[in-house]
Amino acid sequence: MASFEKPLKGELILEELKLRQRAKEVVDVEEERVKVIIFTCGRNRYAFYGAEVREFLPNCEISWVPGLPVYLPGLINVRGDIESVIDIRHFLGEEKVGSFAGLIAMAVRDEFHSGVMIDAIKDVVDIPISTIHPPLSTLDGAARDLIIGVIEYGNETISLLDIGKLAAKITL
Amino acid sequence: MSDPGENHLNLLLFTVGGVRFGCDSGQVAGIADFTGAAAEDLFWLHEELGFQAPVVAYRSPTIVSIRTEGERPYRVIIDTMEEIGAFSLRDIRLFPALLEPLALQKGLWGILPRGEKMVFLVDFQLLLKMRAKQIDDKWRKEIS
Repeated sequence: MASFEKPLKGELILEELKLRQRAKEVVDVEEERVKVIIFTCGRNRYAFYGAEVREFLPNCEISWVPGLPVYLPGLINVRGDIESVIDIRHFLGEEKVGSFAGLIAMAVRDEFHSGVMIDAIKDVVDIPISTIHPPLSTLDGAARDLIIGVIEYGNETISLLDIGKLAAKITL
Repeated sequence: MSDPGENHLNLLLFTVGGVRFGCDSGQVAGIADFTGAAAEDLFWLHEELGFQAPVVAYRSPTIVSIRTEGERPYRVIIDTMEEIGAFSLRDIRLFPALLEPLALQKGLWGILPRGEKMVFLVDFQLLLKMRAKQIDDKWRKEIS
């Protein structure tokens, strides 16, 4: 006579299937993702975290202010608010151009907010956080101080720039 | 500057090197044409503000004598005067926090947006204070 305390074979199979299902669900939980904005500046492409860029402003007239360092070309009027502008090419080691015809990215991080001159937006993508790799230890050059990581974009490796590091460089 | 309790500030607007500036007209003791004669108390504004342009052209250079309240005399050469008028304090913006320390080092304390353009407000008495400190430092170096 079969014992009622011993689980039935069908019950065991069902339990096993449920365990496997749960394990699969854990694997299937979507990896945390982050939005990044890929843009061109000079000869290279770079990226910002999307959360750190409030908006992009085309055709901005930059009012030059006397006595400022070369990386602070002046001020812009954003719907009545006066904002500073940073020429990030200075820190990236990119060649400076005579007349600026690009976009101003309004960068925001905690108390820091400023326009940043870029040439053009290339793409906006959601990427898994795990695909952001630390900067190469061999990375050299002017941009090194601003890079928080590198990401793969097509066949390219793109430097992800940290607005916080930029703010620390600029803040007087 | 004028009484801060007022809602308006009388500003003298002018240009230097194509850049528009304004100053509190209460700081101005007198205005005269520049005749070309140099003097120890006379300074070109573009030099006071640290213009990095190699040449700054003045179309109609004008001397502004600054009220110095007993300090050494201080006169500044500006270019074309554009306007003297009362402007609401509500229209005056501060420099963004990022730039303010640098702007103040050049005597610039505020901005008056006018359409697409900006007028930078300069405090001549602040410039004089910095100029006086430079002269004193130089004098101390020379006698030590």
